[in-house]
This record gives sequence, structure tokens and C-alpha cells, in this order.
Amino acid sequence: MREIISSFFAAYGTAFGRGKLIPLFLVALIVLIAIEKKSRSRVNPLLFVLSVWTGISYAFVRLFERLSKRWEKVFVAVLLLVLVIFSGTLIWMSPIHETGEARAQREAGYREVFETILQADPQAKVIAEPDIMPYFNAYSPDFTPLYEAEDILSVQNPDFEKLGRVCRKEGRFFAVIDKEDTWPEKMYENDFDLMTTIGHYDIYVFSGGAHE
Amino acid sequence: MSKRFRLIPWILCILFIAAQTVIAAFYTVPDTASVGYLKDASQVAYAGGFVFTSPLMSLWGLLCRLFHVSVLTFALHVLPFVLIPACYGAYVFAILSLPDARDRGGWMLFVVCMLHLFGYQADAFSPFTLLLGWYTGYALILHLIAPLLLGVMIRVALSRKEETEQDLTAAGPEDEDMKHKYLNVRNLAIVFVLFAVLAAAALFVLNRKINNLHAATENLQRSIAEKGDLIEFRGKKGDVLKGYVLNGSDGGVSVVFGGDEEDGPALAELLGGLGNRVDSWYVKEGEDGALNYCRKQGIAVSHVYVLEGMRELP
Repeated sequence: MREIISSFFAAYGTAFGRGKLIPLFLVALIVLIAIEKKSRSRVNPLLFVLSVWTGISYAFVRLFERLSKRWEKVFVAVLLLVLVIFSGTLIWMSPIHETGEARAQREAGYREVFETILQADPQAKVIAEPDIMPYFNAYSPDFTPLYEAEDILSVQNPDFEKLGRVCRKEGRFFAVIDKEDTWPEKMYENDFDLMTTIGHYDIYVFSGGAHE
Repeated sequence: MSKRFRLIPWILCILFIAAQTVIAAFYTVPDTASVGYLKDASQVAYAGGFVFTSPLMSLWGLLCRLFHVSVLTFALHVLPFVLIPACYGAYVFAILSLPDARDRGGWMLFVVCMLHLFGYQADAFSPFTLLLGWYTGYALILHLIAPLLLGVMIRVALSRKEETEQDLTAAGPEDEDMKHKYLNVRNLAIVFVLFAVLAAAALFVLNRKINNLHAATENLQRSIAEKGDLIEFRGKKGDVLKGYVLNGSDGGVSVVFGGDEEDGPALAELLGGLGNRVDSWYVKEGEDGALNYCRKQGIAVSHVYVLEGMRELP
């Protein structure tokens, strides 16, 4: 039983992280059951089945309306605000949010990286860090990202020897790596050559050490 | 409720929605999990056609092709101005379908706006989050289609109720009471809890299976790594089998045959990728063209074994 509960929380953590939208939804359900019992008025369950968001908002607005005293209303309004704030993370907060200038610069940097690689090889096989990897195919279907090797670069100290072994099997391909995440010597040791540097990113090409 | 008190939330919501749209289009870091879904849109935008397994992304791709816009620009900078207000429009439609929406509708929409503003849960949930994955199918089902469906169903339910009230028959209200007896929030909560328990049990079983599978593949990967590689060498043109290169798990490289001198450059390139050295090279008598070429290119060959007197048995 303990194992079931822990696996449930693990799955919940994967899907919702520290977000509390579902507990808030359950609280809203309890509030509505209480209101339904007291007022003997029926609440349309569709509100909950079809949209969690309308269900939560409906429950709390109904609760707010039922209160007559001013201090009760203020208390519920503040409580609701706190619950909503703690139900998830503010979308406008770093690192989800960034300044317009930074975002434009980052996107221009990505485009430059993609164009440089496509000019060198119009059917390029690529490997990159997880934050840039999905952009390759969104930019052009001519890229072949090696998703099976993505895990290698997703850790703090990537295993470049392993990356070299994967490259050896795949033939010529490009690696886009944040300058701060590796020393060029590590790449040279594994038969990568630095092609160019664009913004934060170093573009390495693997051709079994043949590329000059 | 005073008119001013009713208007305040609507005005706040309009400002909120406008701010959310502009910030999503120009200031939010694009969510990488959601950007991955644009792969099919990019495929359609460049090559045409339609990916039937991904109709929404195909639609975005076709629109990009039509207006000659890059998929990233279209999805990240243009679509927020259409889809975010459209989704909120669907919420407004659902809320205004409620019988007592006049008084509470504005505040309900305000709470919905706030929930979206504090909507980031985890990376896995991002494609479902309106302000992070507005262009994904998941977000549009949850925030556009579901509220629209909700609005329509509530309106249909209310119109039916009105009809029933008009035909006041003796059995009518009792039937309605019977319906309420079964279809109410308490029963819905029970169903929800049951569903959660069943989902937990299913997740437990699935988790155990995944763990077993993971252990099996880990051993498989190790055993593959331990076995080394056998590479077929198909010569310069790649059509005729000229030899084999054995890349051992201990790092040793052996070559069996290798072809003529004209196959030398391709073989030298292959051996270059394996460290420019060969421990053992087996050649047939008089067929050492590729071997000599590789030696001239600086590939270190430790031992050469010439197989003499080889003949095919009748």
C-alpha cells in the first residue's frame, strides 16, 4: 500500500511538480458539496467535468456570495488569492519569463546557429543541449536530431567520451554546446573540431578527426 | 450587487488578458516541451502535404506555407494574439451560459485569469498550460474546446429545464429530482476519488513494469557495449563487400581483407575514425592494395597476416 501511495505521489510530481492545481480542485469540490447541502440548490456537475478552471472559480465565487459579513468576505477573498498564488508558479517569473530584448537576442542566436549548420551540411545530424534541441526540427525538417544522445548533454558533467562513441557510429555530425559547459580540449580528445562560436554556443563538428 | 462592483472584474480581466497576450508573444521564454510539437508543422511548412496524426500542427504548417512565415515566428509571435483571446472568449461563453452569470460572471473570469497567471505546474504539464503552450493541441482542447462544449451543454440543459417547467406534468418534477439524486457534485466527487485510486493502482503497476524494462535495457546496453562492433566495409562505391573491420570492446581494431588500392581512401577514412591504428590485418596473397594505401596515409598497422593457399572446396 505504501508503495502504491509513493508511486502515486511520484507520478503526480512528474506531471504537476510542486503545483497544487489538483488539490485546489478537490478543495473546490468540497466547498461546492457543502454549499449544495446547505442551500439545497443543485450545482451543474458539468462545470467540473469539462473544465477544472471554471469549476474552481465557480465554487469560490459561490462561497464568497454566501457570506454576509464584511470581514468574512475579506478573509475568503484573501484566502482564495493565497490559494491561487500557491497553486502554481507565476508565469511572469524568471526563468519562465525574460525581457523582450533577451528573448529576441536568444532567438536570433538560435537562427544563426541553425543557418550556419545548414550551410555546412544541408542534411545535418545534430546533438545539442535540451534547451535548444526541440528548436532544430521546429526550424527546419532537414535536421536530424539524435534524441537518443540528448541525455548525455542533459547532465551537469557530460560524458564526452560517450558522445564521441555515439558520433563514431553515426558518422559526421554537429554538436551545439554552451561555451560554459565544456572545455574545447575535452571535445578535441574525442575527435570533435570547433567549427565556430555563435553567441553562447560552440558548434563542434565530428568527422572522425578528419575535419580541419 | 451594484453595477460598479459588477464592472470592475470585467475591466480587470480585459487588462489582464491583453497583458498576458503581449507578454506571451514577446517576453515569455518558449517552453521547450511545447516547441517539440512544432516538428510536424515545420515538416508541412517546408515539404507540403498533411500529417494526419497531427492535424493541428499540420494546420499551423499550412498557414506558414501560405503566408511565407517561419513556423517559430508564427507559433510564438503571431498565434498568441489569436489563440489566447480566443480561449478566454470560450471561458466567457461558458461562464455567461450559467443562469446567474450577470452577478458573478466577471469575478469567475477574474479567478480563471489568475489561475492561468499562476498556471505553471511542471515541465511535463507545460503543453497543457495556456500561457506556455497555447499552440499545442492539448492546450486548445482544455482551454478552447472544453469551455465551448461546457457553454453549449449548459445552455442545452437550461433550455430543456425551461421546457419541462412549462409542461408541468405530475411526473415531471419527480423525474428531475431523480436525476438530481444521481447526478450531483457529491457523487461526482466520489467518482473522482475512485478514479484517482484506480489511476494510482494503474500507475503502480505501470511503474513496476517500466522499472523492470529499464533494468533489462540497461543490461542489454552493457552487453552490446561489451561485445564490440563488426563493420562491413563495402569499398569505394559501397556496392561490393570488400572486407570487415572489427572494433573490439577492449579498443583493439582488426581488419579482414579490405579490397584494392582504389578502396584505400574510404577504408582509411573509416579507420581514421577508430584511432588511425590497426592491431591485426588479415589479407589474401596479392590483394594488399588497400593495406598499402592505408600504411602510406600513416595508419599504424601492428601485425599483418597473409593468408596463403586459400582455395574454395569443390
